[in-house]
Amino acid sequence: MRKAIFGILAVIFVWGAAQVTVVDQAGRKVVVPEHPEHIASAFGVATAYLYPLIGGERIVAARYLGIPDHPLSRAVMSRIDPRYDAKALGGEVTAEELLAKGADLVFAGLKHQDLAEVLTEIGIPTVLIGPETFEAVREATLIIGQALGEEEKAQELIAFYQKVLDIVAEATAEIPTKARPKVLVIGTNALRVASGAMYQSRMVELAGGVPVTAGLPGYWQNVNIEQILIWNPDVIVIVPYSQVQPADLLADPLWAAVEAVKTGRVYKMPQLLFAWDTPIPESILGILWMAELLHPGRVPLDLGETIRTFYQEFYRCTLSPAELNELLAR
Amino acid sequence: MHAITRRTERASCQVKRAGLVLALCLLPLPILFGSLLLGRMSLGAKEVWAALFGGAVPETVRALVLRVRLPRLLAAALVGTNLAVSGAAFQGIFRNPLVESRILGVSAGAGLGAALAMVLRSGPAGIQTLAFAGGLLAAALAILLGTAFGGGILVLVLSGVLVNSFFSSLVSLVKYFADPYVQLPGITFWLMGGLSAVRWAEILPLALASVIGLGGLLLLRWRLNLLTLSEAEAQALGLPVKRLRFLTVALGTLLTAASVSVSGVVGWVGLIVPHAARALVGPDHLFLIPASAGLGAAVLLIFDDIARTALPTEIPLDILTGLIGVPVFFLLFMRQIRKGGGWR
Amino acid sequence: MKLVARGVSYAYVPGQPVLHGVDLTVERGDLVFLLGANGSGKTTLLECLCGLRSPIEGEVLLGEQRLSALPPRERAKWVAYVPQFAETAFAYTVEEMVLFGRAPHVGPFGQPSRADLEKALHALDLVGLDGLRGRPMNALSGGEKRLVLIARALAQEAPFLLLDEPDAHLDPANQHRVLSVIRALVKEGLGVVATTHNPNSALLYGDEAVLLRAGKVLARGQPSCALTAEALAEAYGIPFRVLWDGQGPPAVLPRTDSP
Repeated sequence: MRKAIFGILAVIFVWGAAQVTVVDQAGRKVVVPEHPEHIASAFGVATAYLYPLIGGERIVAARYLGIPDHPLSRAVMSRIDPRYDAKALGGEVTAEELLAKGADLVFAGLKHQDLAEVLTEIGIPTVLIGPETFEAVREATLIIGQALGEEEKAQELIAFYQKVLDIVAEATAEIPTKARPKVLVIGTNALRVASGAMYQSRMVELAGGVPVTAGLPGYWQNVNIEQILIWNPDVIVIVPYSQVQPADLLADPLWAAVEAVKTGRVYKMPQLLFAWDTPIPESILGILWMAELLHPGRVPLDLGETIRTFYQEFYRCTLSPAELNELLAR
Repeated sequence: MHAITRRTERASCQVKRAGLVLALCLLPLPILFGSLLLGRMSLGAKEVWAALFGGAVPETVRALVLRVRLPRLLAAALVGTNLAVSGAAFQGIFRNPLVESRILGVSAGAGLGAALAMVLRSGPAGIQTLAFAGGLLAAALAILLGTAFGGGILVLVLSGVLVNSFFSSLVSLVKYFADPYVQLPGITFWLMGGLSAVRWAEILPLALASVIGLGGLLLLRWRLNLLTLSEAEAQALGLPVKRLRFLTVALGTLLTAASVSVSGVVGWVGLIVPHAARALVGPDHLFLIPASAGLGAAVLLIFDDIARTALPTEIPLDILTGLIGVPVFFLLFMRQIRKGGGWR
Repeated sequence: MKLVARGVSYAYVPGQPVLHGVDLTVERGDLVFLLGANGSGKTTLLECLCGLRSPIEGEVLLGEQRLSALPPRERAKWVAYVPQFAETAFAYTVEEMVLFGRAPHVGPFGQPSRADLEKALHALDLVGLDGLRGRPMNALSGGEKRLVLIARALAQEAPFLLLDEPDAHLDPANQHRVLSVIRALVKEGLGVVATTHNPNSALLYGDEAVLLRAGKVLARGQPSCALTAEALAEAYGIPFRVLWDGQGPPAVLPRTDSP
């Protein structure tokens, strides 16, 4: 009799252990399969977590932000995942599309709650992430690592992320406020700016700058040129997936009186694979790039070397010196 | 004796009306100057004066006044005038005070042009050009359709409705295929109307179109009265009705398309301003057109002031004109019902 | 100078003519009444006479010239038209409305001058309404509105005036007012064609009556001669009787007792 009970308990225990439960960043408890084989990402930001953790093989569908527009990005991405083009999801992702691709685990963003509900109903577990701080990025990495059964790799990624963050933070902690340049982060249109609550502003602060939009609430906001003149940033950073080029602002008579335009300090963040301004582990490269921009030589890390190391370790991809130069060319 | 006093009485009434029209035409000027002082950064009158006429001011102030505010305010004044005058003209042609210049689908066409331009990564010049072309195309289509089916007013309205819906659907299609992160926000913002990035380069084509359109409609304004009569009456009075209607529609469309290509879709101005003007100076287009012109400029300048100063972010114009304009219209409407003048 | 319709035919739908070879002549100083049942072609004929419609056969002549050869502006200086219904979407004043009649004389891009205003007011005077010049149109009675429209037509300074049912929808007093004004204007030298459903209007005020039936002229001549009981019965399809008390013109009534 006892043997039977133990037997049943053992089965239950083993069966329970074979299921993995994660708590996602929407607070939802999601039961995920032990060995997911067909992973999908409906959220551009989430895609950037998947590739460093498991590579492209088990990914069946994903949203890629900004890659198709850059020849260098396309070239490097094809080396990492030759079939990424076929996996690309466009526009608004639907549950049907994901079902058609045979997904057994989906990652999405906080704004995809409705999609998540539908997917859960048809039996596809969905994990939602929505980081906007450094802490949240670490948490998201851990959650996704758990869901994929790649907790070790996740810890490695977090460690790398934290290491770079700490080095940059230490280097910029002592910079007095007077020496911190005022930085404006511009989005997809010249007058669309990142608010003070967004990840981009955290990056600016860590890199030793002052985000001019600190007082602005919400998400991406549309302002007019007058407001920009009032902020009068010393440096303008354009996100990598924007349609705006630095040359556009430098030549525009409306922007001529802005300090950053006068001194020519308008830069577009480099784009390799995933956008360095979005809340992903790779964003440390963006932070490092920005710190180099604002306070050259202050951070005791070589940008080129760090980039190469990151892509080697987490994407198993070797960047040639030529590619590195092209990436960092201004 | 009696006739003479009555005649001088009427003459003084006419003078009063002419005086009111003149006042309305001059009204935008002080509002324009006052608006130069307003913004996220308040300026003093002396500073603005110095910046305009070469006095000694810091470079940022001069740049703010001459490069940022002045072109924007001129655009606001021109767009307001154009929309109001073409609205008045269209209300006359369609014999309906509930019509505005968008009835032939100009806004939907311009919206499509702008959306396509943004998807194709064009700069501001490209957006303005394609929006203008789109607006003209939509109106031309509506007119062609209407003329093919007889050219009567009802048919024209129906064609306009069809074209409007069709082009709106096309805009939705473009929005659907646009990248939701990169292109869609820009398109949505443009469609809601705003003057946040007006440069001098955009003013020139707008001014040109305004001169042609306003000039033409001013010359035709007395004849527009006749178009409000039935077609039989107008023809019997010797008017080439179809030609005159076509010319007026063309001029009104030119004004609207040129304006929408700069300011995006701004509704209600073309409807409300002619109403208010009619309440003030009566339905005779001899007075109505100039009155609408002045009032339209003044009104849009005020709306634009609110759009750019109330919040740190830019409030789309269409939202303001809708939120504020509709209740105002309602009040005017009620007043008209009680008075029974201006329109039946 | 005569306004002549010669052999005029018109069809709205091809193959179904509403006018068959109608002849009509109006001279200055003549008041011609056009009568006929509904659908007999009266309004159509009127519209052909002022150039609003082109006859598919026959022609309308102004003196020696074809009316269609004149541009609309010129036409409007010779022939004025007062339709039965005139509604505007906007409340113009009487003065503004009459001023519209000066359109043929105002340039294509111009405005009425002081002289135009004087002429418009004079026209208003002719119909006896100069006291109402500042009144909005929608505040007038039916008869006053009708007179204002006539004043507008007079402001055109055209020698010929065409009126569609000037006596319709008016009480007897207003009917008399309108028709006697027209009569007075005819005496001053205007040539007038008016349609009417009331044979008595023709008998009281007209110089000539033209009776139409199914698009053809049934009877023509001095009203008391043309509008016989037989002719009216054939035109309207109901019996009539003529009454005459020995003074003034006769009157006609439909016969309501046994046929």
